[in-house]
Amino acid sequence: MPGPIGDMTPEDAFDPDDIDPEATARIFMNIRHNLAPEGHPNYDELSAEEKALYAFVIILLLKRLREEGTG
Amino acid sequence: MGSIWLDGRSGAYPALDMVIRSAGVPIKLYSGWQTRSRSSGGFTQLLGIVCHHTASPSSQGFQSCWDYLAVGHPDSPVANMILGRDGTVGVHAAGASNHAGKGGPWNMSRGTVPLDSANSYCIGIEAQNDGVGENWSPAMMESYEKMCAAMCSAYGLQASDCIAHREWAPSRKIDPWGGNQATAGFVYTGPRMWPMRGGQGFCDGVARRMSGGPDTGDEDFVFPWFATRSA
Repeated sequence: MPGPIGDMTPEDAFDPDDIDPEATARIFMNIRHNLAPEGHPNYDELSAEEKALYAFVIILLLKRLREEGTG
Repeated sequence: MGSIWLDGRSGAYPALDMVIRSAGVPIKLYSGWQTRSRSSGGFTQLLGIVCHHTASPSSQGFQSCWDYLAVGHPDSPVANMILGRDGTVGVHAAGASNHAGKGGPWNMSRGTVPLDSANSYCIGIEAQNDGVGENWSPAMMESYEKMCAAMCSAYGLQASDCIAHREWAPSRKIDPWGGNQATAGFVYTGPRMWPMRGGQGFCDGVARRMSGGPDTGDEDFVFPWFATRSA
């Protein structure tokens, strides 16, 4: 029998649309929150300054990846 | 990266929960649904709806499947909502989500969904079905057609803008796949890939509901204000 969402493949997650730093920061934060809720707030619990900082880090990471040709 | 969110913040696009409630479909909301999206954020444009089945075991409950779609899958959020076997809809993402992927392009009534871009141009619905012959319950099919009719009306789409995942990606997908026995009143749910068009397909059922056809009995859920909104 197929497993949970048995027909979802990496190809189904593909899309050429540009990365949104805030959306990406939210995904990263919330994955960590879901894996270990204690001490790891979800994105919406952060202050505006913390959200901006995370988005800035994502922008830097994306810039670095693109310079390396892997982003 | 897109700017259209279906939580009510994007003026011309009413919130998904309101739209689905208007169809008389039972609904649940996943915590954080208003801001959940794939890495590109909101929709770039909203041109259609992609219909899926989950290909998950028939024994799997609604909540565990919904958790997996919303936050558990490595590429979550998978689709924007789940449709359960009892006809309940669970909304977990108001922004663009991962569900359709590589495929297309596809011509919709309001424009063309570009190659490989349905995730950022189309709403995704994952319906709980094992995809290997599990029958579709009447309650589920009522909800599937009703919710699509309501979303088409609310977002200025036509019934034909509902497409099957296998239409978007015919070389690698079969969903939605019918049950071993067709559901009474929904002839397209028989043991094959759902026909979507041609008079007896899923889109035809959605179109009848949008027009308040005599065989649906549902005439009060259409958004007439939005149905006449220009693109």
